[in-house]
Amino acid sequence: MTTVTDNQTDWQQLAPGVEVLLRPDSSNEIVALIVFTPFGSAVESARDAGTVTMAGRLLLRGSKKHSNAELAELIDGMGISLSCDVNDDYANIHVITTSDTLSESVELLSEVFFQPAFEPEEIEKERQSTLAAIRRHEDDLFSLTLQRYYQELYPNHGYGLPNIGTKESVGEITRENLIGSHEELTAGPFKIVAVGHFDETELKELLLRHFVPNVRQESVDDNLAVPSPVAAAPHRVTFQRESEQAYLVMGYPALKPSDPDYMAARFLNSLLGDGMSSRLFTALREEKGLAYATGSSYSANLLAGQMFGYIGTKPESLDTAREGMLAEFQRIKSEPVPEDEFIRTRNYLVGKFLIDHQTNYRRAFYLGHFDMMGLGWRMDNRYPDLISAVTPQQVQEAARKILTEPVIVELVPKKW
Amino acid sequence: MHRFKLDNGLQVLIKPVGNKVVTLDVWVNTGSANEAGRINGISHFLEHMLFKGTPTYGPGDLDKVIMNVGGVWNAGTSKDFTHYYVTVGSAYFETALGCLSDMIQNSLIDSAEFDSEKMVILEEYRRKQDNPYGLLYDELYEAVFAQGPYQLSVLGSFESISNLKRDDMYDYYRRYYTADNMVFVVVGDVNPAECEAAIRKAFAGLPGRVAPLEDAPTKTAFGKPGIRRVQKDVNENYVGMAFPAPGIDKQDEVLAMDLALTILGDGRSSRLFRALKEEKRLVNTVSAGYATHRHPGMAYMLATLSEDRVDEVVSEATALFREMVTRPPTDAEMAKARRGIRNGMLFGMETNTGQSSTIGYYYTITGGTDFLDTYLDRLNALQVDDIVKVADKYFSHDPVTIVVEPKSAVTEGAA
Repeated sequence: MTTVTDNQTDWQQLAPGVEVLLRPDSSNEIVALIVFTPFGSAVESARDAGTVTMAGRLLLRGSKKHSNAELAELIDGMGISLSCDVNDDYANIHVITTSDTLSESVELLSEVFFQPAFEPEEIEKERQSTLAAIRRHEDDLFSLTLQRYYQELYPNHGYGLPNIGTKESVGEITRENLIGSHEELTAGPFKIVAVGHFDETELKELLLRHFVPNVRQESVDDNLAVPSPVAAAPHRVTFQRESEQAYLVMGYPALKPSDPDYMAARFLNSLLGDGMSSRLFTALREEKGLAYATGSSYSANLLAGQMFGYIGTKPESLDTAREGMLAEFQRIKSEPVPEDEFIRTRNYLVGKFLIDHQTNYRRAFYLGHFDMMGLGWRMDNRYPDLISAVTPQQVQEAARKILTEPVIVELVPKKW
Repeated sequence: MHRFKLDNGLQVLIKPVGNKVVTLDVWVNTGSANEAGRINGISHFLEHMLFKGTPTYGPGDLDKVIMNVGGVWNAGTSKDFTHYYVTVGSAYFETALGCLSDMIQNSLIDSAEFDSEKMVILEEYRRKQDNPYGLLYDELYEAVFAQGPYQLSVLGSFESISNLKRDDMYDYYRRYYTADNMVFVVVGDVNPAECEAAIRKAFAGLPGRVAPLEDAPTKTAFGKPGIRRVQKDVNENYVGMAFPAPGIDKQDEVLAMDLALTILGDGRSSRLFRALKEEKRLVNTVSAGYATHRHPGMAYMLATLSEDRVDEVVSEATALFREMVTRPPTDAEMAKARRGIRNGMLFGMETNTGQSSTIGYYYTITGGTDFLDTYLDRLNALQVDDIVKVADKYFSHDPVTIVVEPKSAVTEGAA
């Protein structure tokens, strides 16, 4: 792990619409290169959910130069990892490679990103794969409950829809839809972050040779405007599956990254449900023995955040679990946070963040992710200090702001 | 790598890495393979109990100490081992060492905590039953091994967990958590000499001699081939198909098996993926793997499919496994598999925990570092004929298959 400092190089413009942030590091022979593009699945509606993700997955199913099988051979032959991830607010295509195959990797990434074939036969294969993945996703009962929670919290918005799409929407995606999504994915502007064993000049030359010539020079429309999501009124939904456990997700709209209290909100989540000393873990698992898995999670999208607590427990304990979770959410609003707990949470948040910087991919990801969230890459340096500057009062204020009336989703066993 | 052994027999391996963090990883040479049915699940349950207090630290206090220095820690139990690992900023090495050495040597296994944690373990069991992959793995192991160290589930059955007694656990703890039955791996930004001094002091009092239970299973017998179906409220068919495979005492075969399974089922260009998914479109996902154990283990294929075409998949997959003999790997396949394994290790060992896990795992099942140190060289020296031989020896068996299938797929009278 290398600590970056603010005097490191900033974004450099490689060409119109293409900026690079390069962090050479020869402590191992791995190179992680991520191309961030500001187009995600938040633009989708219930009708076309999953289109952007499917377009991303099809990038590896054949280009204008290589068939699906040939691409698979090239990727496996080099032993590299190459894939496209679509999030709500942005997408990235990345490669993790070694320095001896960096040139070929950059060339291949550029080829699949800009010149996918979208062959009809491959589209149908990918459609069947995606439909199967949706069915498997529904077999994972916690994931199923969580997805239902997102839908309940942000109905009628891309943030509430699964990135992978739904059975109904995926069945309707056409080649034209996919090509349209691909045009948006490749409209840029692009932010490219690379960390690892490379020579800066050589990598820039590689990108100039393979990536930049593919970038469309004509001006493109701004990315489709995504309206801010409107959170649903507090409510509780119960649905059934055959299962051993009941699954509960209880959550709230929360603060987006640009909110001045965002760091306090992250702190709040950590205190409540991140790690083995957090309140939900201690109260619901260690003291009451209600669950193996319980905690909380915070996700911050550009236009809205959300925070939820979760637990899986035997059905007869569901009421106790729900009440226990609500009690913890109430307690933090009314009781001052003890100093030792506050300091411990702060140290854990900062330490965990630093420990998560051990791989070149994670280092590159953080730099680009913060930038895509509108916080700038320097947030990667400032994050520990900003977390350390949060006060107990700010955490409590964030709690009062966020932990109002929840949206609750519960999966209960059919026979219960 | 800096290595030394304490007088009590504790082996220590220190790998300096200049990245400002350090991982401490204690590997205990015991897991569910050491359990008789009456105590099935005790290794895993004990792993939980080690976080529940010592004479110095009350329940939950160890977690607080580690969090307070910005550390993350966890533990894992498998068939052959249990390990406890913590990663902290290197300045907090001694704090982490203090917690880890105390929990390894002085855990109380308090009766009240035991009863409370049993409820947590039972919730973990229920959660696993809800997960089709969790269910598949347990059923597969149980079917592949008619008897032997790997037949039983790491988590235990609902009944065995419910019946576990605190005193049996304490006895198990004292029998197996001994200096000669562990390896301690440190990877990180530390001074080896200072690190050694601290470790010698921290573990000096650890008793030396392991005293295995007399009824721990030893002899392996493979189960009856065929397809067994388990019905569940799922949408997809989850298939696990397994052949017998060598244990780590046959190292050349293990290496050949690693290459064979990579060629068969690792990546989108692998034989299983190309044939079953892309060409015949029989499956939605497919991969192959090999659980490298101390004793004879299994080589397996995992697949998911939407329609009940399990018989066809098993037939086609079995043929592909056996084709490793009749259609030996090409030079290109050999090179690709070697590169894939090499890069997989490189990427996997980018974190300190990745390194300590790999070093600790192979040390635990082989008793040294030679296997890992020479792994890639030996892999590169393998010839096509070595792959053919191992494939012929193990894939000529008829496989055992487990299917976790949707309830609606059940036909009257099906098992």
